[in-house]
Amino acid sequence: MDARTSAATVPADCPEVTGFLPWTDPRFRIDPYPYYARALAEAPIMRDDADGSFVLTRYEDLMHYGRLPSIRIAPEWKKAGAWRVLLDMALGHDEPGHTRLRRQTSKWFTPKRVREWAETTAGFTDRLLDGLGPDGLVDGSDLAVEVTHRTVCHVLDVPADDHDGVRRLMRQAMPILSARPAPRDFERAEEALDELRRRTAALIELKRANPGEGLLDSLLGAQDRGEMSAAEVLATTLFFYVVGHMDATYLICSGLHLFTREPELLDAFRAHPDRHEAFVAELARFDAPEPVVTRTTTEDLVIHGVHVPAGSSLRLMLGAANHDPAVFDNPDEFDFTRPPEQTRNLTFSFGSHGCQGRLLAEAEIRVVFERISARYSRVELTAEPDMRNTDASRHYYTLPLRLHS
Amino acid sequence: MNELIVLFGTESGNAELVADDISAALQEKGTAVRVADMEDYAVDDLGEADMVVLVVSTYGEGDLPDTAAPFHDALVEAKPDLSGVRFAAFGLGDSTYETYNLGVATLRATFTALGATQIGETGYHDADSGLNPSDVAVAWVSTVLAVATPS
Repeated sequence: MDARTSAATVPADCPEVTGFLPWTDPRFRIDPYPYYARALAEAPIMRDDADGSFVLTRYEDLMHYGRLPSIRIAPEWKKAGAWRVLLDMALGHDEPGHTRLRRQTSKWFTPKRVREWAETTAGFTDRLLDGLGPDGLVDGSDLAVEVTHRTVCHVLDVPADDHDGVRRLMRQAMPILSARPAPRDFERAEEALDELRRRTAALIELKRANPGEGLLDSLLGAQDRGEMSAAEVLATTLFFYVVGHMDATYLICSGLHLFTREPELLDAFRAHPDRHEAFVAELARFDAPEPVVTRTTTEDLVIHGVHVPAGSSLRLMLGAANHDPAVFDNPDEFDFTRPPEQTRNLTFSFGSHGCQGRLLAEAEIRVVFERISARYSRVELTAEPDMRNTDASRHYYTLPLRLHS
Repeated sequence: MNELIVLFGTESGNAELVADDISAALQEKGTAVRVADMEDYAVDDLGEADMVVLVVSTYGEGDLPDTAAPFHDALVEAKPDLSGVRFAAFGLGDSTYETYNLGVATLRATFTALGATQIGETGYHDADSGLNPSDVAVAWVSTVLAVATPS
């Protein structure tokens, strides 16, 4: 859509977004929460002159406008450079294709199956911790990537031999999702996705030669029955293979980092096994790894008095909605004892496109904290972590820790 | 009672977990319980149990979830006589949707139309409440069974 047209059709009470959310400002990228707070209070809808999109931050607005039947997801992935590969899997589809594809994987992520997967995560975690030296030095990010990547490979039933390579390629592929991607981000994402596609194709070839009983076997079975195309099997496999480690790792790091700053939280976690799920939910609310999703409108809308024409992009700021004071008391505080009605968060997105791996991610995070809190008394930061964030994707590159017995 | 069947219909597996937890709670009290997925259950067998507990979510625009839809279609198609069947119904939903718990309402209406008798009030879990669905369901089933088996 032409940005000048949209600017002409909106009245003055729809401020330009970068006055509130300065997408490329390093201070905003490290700690967006003060910026979100001001936007939540003063500017319920903003426009982005660079691309003509509209930006929403309030919880209630996201839940309402983000779930309208007229809202579409596919046009957004068409614009996302190399990530258009997702147009061949559930996340890139609107109905009816979305449900058809989502049902091919849903049975693998039920609460019952996740209990099983969480046991394997605990095993991987213990094995890694067993291998630490007497000094207890470990990089939290390395540990988290390895156990979560191994777990998702176990679900797929494929070899988990290069978690570091997959992490490196994802770091290269994610910056493109920013509101202000640099031209070279597009090239770098193409390069990364080409390599990830090659790796996924090799996994499929290996699986055809060595059948098993994993998620990938189930997808290939669906392909053989004519329920999925080869392209859909490739995109679905690629997606789970490459994202399995990513946001779960961020949240594990975010929690371990928190334990270094507030050691009493580790003691509280250990002392309250009945609050472990609430702890993980609060961690997800507190700092979302991917704080935004986008959708396209297909009908004219009026949002807070602002005319939003059909065909506009909406940037829905999940990370801001998670800190909306209309829903959460003291939203910028970490508090795992919140009452039940304040435990919802939008970190795993919402509505029909809510993250299918949510239960698995939550279980992995819980299990890693459980194993560490059972084996160690304290988590110490030995150097400042290296964080590389955009407005749309947050990453710990390093998190140097010492685990004290 | 001889046997109670907990029949679940699910999209994401939450109704399955609730059905399992209802079953475990009842077995602890000495009730014989069997859990089955609606997907694997023949509608002709509905007369066999003393009582059926339906646990079902809602999907999409108020539709029945993946494993309940074929079961419901079979009921509508075969129209079995359920006049000897007593049932209780529990829905999992999210009150921020206009279609809140339409899934369980559809199933309940069909059971009643085929002659089955509902015991107790329909139970609901609202995802917006932040409460644990199994806790809500286990509390609900004990009040229903108190109605079903007056001492």
